[in-house]
Amino acid sequence: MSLSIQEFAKKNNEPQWLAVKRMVAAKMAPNFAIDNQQRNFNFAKPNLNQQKINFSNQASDQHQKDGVIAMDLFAAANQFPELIQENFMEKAIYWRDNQLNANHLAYLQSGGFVFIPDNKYIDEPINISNLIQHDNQEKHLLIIAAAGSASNIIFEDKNTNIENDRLMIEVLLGDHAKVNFYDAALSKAQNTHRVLNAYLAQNAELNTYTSLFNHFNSRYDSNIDLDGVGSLATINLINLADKQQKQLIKTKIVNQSEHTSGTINERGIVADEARTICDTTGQIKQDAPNSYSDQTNRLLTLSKESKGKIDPILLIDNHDVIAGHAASVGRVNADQLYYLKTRGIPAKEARLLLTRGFLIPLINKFPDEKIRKQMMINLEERING
Amino acid sequence: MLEIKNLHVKINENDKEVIKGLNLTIPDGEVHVIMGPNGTGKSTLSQTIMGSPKYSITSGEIEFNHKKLNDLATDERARLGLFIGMQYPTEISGVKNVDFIHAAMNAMKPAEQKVSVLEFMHRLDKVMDFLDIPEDYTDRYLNEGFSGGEKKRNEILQMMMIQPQLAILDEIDSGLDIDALKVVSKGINEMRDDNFSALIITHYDRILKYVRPDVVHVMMDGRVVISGDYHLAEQLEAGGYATLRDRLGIDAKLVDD
Repeated sequence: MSLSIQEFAKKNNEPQWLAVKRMVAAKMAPNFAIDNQQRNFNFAKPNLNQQKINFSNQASDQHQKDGVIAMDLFAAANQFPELIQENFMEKAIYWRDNQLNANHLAYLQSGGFVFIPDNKYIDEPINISNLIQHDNQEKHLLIIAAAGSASNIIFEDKNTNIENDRLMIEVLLGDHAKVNFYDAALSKAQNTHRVLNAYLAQNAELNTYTSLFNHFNSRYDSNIDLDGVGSLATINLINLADKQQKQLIKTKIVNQSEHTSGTINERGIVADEARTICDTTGQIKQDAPNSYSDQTNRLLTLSKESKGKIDPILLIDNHDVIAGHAASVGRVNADQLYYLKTRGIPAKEARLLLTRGFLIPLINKFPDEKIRKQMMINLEERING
Repeated sequence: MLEIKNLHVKINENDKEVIKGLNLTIPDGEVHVIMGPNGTGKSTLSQTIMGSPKYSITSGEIEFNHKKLNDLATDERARLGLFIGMQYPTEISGVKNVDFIHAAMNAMKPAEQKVSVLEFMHRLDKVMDFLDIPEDYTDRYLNEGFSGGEKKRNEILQMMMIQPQLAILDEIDSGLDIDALKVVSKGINEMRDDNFSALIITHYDRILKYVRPDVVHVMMDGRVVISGDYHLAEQLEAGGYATLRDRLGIDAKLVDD
């Protein structure tokens, strides 16, 4: 028996502004836009059932000493309304943008809030995987890196086999803040929708590293807004699709201001009868002279039945910029496959070696060695089942 | 033992027949050399024995230890004990040399006899030491950025690790300086025993000073036209292929005529 939004918000002890915002979102959702590709991910409303909320700061002792906050989003909404009210689904993921966003806000079941205090350099990676209830459908993470901070943040999926899975991640970076974010999308849900959006203030730097290793139909949206002068963002994404999987990957970096830099690197493997579409956009606005936008997409198809498609888009409104793109969809190199086979390595294993070899150059870009190892383990596990 | 009977092979890309009725037998424990002018089908022969998808057998048979190879996949042939040292080894970015060699060794063995990492590293150290291969070789990606000589050395390293029964070495001596040639030869000689045989394909007799062959074959126009001991190679070096062709009265066109 599902609770109403109002009842659910009350049980969570949500502040009134949040409860009202959710109810308004539920009411207005049908009025907002939705395109055909999004329709498949307009999931049925989940059951809202009361959950036990942990009200304490769940950051490690060392991180707490540095002033890091990692806690339940509903609990944080009470404790830090000044941080959450104006940021949550207002800057990086705007709740009025489309039906999916509005419904996500209205029926949000579980969330996490992370705050990195200003001018703190946090060396040890902050793992925020346990801030949310993985087996819920609608989940959210709000990450705020205050001015001058630097941190490495990790999130890994741990869901079992739920029907629908949506996680929306917002990362907001203050002036001169730097975040390296590793997102391991390992969902085993039948339908997975992941959003990773960010908003960057002046001279902020965000590097996202995503392992898109979901198992079934999945949609990945990433939209990074380079709003602050001199801000810089890189999206590094590796993906793997197999069996009858359908994968849609939409990434976009928007250079809003001058001296901004956006780079998108994607490498993916498409096996069996899977289909992967990469829709990659770099946009330089008129007010962004002396900016840089670059994208590289590579897809490797392992079988005749597997299909890969790349749509690279550059939208340039200022001519005093540097922009480029490269895209390729190709089969496994026959000479390489033959060479491996001449050493007795069976075709299937040879393909696995080449798969690893294809993705590793991007994995090697991640600055933290422990996380590189974890990415390799995630890749091995995904390849082996 | 390798036995090739009346083999005809065409190149798939252009349907051109390049091997035209070739016969060859290599008993266990023997090192055979094939020499011949450019474009006479030597590399095609080696790749065909290994089952390259670029060539098709139109008639004839290849047997290894009395097992017919014609319809076996390349990796199956390798697991029967065949090895090819390539003229142009392929570069594979992202695959470490060490992981590749370990995977290759284990591919040859049934599940219960897999080589442990420790055992493997120990053996690898010994062989690398024997071949004067620097330590950083293993962590580099497979053949990526290797010089010509390093690639050939790497082929010999793989051969010594995998321990095949028959090694086909396609122009393993080309592009090598004298030191590298000695190292490569040392590796081949170390492998020689009653259960190992080799087929060395070469243009020059210089490797034969270091690896003394049991039999030298000369190939022209897709066939073996004469076989003999290593003195045959010396005669060839002195007189050239055209002289031999004319002496044998063969109607073969040499590429460089």
